Amino acid sequence: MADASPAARGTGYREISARAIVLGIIQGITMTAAFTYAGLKLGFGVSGSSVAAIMGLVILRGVFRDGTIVENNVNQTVASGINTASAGVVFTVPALLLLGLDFNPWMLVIAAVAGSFMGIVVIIPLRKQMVELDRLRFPSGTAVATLLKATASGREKGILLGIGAVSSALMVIGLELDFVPEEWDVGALIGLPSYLGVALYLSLMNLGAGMLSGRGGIPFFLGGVLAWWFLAPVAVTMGWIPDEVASAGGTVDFLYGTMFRPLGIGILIGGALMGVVLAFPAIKAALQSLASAVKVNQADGSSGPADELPATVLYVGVALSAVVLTAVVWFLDPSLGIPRILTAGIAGTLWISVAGLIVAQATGMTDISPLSGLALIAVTLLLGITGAVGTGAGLEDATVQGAVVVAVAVGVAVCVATSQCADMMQDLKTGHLVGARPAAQQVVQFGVAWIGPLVAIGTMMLLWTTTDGTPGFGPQSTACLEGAGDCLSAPQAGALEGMIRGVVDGNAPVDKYLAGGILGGAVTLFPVGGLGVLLGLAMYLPFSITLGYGIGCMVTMGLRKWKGTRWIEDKVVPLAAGLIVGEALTALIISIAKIFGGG
Amino acid sequence: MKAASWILFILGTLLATAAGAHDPPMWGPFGGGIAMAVVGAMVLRRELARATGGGEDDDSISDLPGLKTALTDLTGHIAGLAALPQGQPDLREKLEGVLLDRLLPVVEARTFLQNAHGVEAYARVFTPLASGERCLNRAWSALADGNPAEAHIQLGRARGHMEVALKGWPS
Repeated sequence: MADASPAARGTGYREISARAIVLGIIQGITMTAAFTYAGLKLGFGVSGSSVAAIMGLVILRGVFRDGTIVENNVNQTVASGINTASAGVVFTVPALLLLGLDFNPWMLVIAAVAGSFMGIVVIIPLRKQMVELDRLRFPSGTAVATLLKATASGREKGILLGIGAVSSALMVIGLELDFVPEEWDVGALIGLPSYLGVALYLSLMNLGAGMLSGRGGIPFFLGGVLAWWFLAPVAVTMGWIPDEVASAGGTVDFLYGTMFRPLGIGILIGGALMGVVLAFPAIKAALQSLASAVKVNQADGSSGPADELPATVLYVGVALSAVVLTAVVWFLDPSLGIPRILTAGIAGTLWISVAGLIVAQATGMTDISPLSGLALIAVTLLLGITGAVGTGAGLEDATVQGAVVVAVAVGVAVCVATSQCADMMQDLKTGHLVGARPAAQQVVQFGVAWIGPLVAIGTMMLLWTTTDGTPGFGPQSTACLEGAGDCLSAPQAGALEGMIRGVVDGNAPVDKYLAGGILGGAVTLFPVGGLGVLLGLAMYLPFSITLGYGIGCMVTMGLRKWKGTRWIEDKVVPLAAGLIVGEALTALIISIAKIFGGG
Repeated sequence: MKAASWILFILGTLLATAAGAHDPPMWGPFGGGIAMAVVGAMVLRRELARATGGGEDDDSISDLPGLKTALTDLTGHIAGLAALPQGQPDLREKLEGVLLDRLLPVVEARTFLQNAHGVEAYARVFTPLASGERCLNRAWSALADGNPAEAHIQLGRARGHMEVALKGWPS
């Protein structure tokens, strides 16, 4: 397949090519299966962009010898566009299996594919806003761009990238072999109370993301400080922790689970919505510029295709997703009645738009996507719409069971959409830094967006049940019951299952979400971009992550003051990129080794 | 006034966070904290809109007129690169110099424009500027891949985008 751009044809500068797409698809499918397994077993997912970029360097530039930087960017866009669905699926779908509910897996695939497409269309205006105007760092996107340009960036940058990657890989291997703990409890070492949360999550990828964010990431760190060094001591000294919880040693879990996390989710949502209100004039101007960009491209006489997709794609895509989601809801539970079915489909679609905005901001500023929290809100919202909340009937009731399946199906769409959105924004940031055409990236991503959900759900079903219908490696399997190494416990979906049981019994922390929403809106008025989202995200995450990330930010700030901005771009960016790339690559290799080694 | 707004915002945020995190939330103190935070934030916004200077860290551009001068200078440098004959041997090094020494300071100082003239005016300048930046990045990639013809086209496009950015500067 040749590049469609006449300008590119004229100069022979290859961007979209058959080999880049095929290579991306092969890698994407492999990584989707590997990360679905890792997500079910360990509860984490990793972006495949950097791994795909390395393979692109080896194959497109090493083997074919004429691969271009923007062509390799298409390869990594395709691979990560497929692979990203695994995170969305493992966070949600297994919850239905854990609850023991019957469902049609094909309906979940359709919901996930609709979400996957929706995730791409909602970022059309968000790219303008967050990559071009807010100029968010998107640490992983920046790291991949550094990698794509590595062979032409000079020896010194290559060495720094390599040092970062090797350090990170050694750390991951050390963790895997139990030479290094997952967290370093600094607080316990110096005698601080555990509720202050002074522990470091030993991930050099996290440190690298902080280093790339620099000063822009400090509000995120301060959000963690607000929660754990202000709110936690206040709550403990004021006696807000129930005695029975405190005496059972559950103070930290209560602080995090009952106070910080739900409030943080509310702050995230309120902050993102207020951010839209404040940035509305800029978003309007950015949308207008989608049209004018074509004219500027053509001003020099080299009339190529538009670099941007038109806003019409956004409107049509959103409308189609709403129709598909509504149809899925109707198929799964027609007894809900037309008003509820329509409300569920439309609310799901609207929530995907809001969640896409939140996740794009969060990944842009910190590299962290609050996927599970956003899916949790979607499921709560849908359980409310379908009338399954607090009925007293419980999960044994067939009506409630139908409503739960509908809610999780929409949750799958939301989770896949938001992971797609986060990945596409990172890819578009990479594209911006290497000079790729956004429209080219978006078109190839549209072409492959259906593959990931199919592979992820298929892999999950295959791993979970054996061919004769008995449990394979799922929580009810012999492997899990006997505590064997090949047990797949699906920790993230387990959390969702627990939440669903709580919501059905009428225990959703709606008051915390509401308070958080108002607070998020208020703090976003402060003249620092995205403050509400950053504070909310920090409260939603364990402090060990925020602390390590904050150290990375402060390292860069100190070096910037000492050495200057250019030094940061020349030295810190490649090193931090290496830290991110090394961890992603090593995690993938370990996942694949475990699949073939049987866990 | 600025210090008082900071204090009001911080105290309001702390109060609202604590009251909101309580199980169940204490809505009275929460409302008071929100009001304090909103007033503090709005006053700080107004203060920032009045200020047109006050550089940060090592940024070389310290005020709004300096930002416009730097943008004009950047456009001139890009026009200079675009006018060079195709296949100039040290073009990639020159382009890198423009990206890091001319474009980066403009980007770092962008808040001066946003604070002084609002987000719409900012978008009118920085949307085409970002498009121009992407063309420069593509030119760099094309040069690294040994394709000077593509680089030449992209430098011309970058110049066009930068001129649009300059025209969009608020009068």
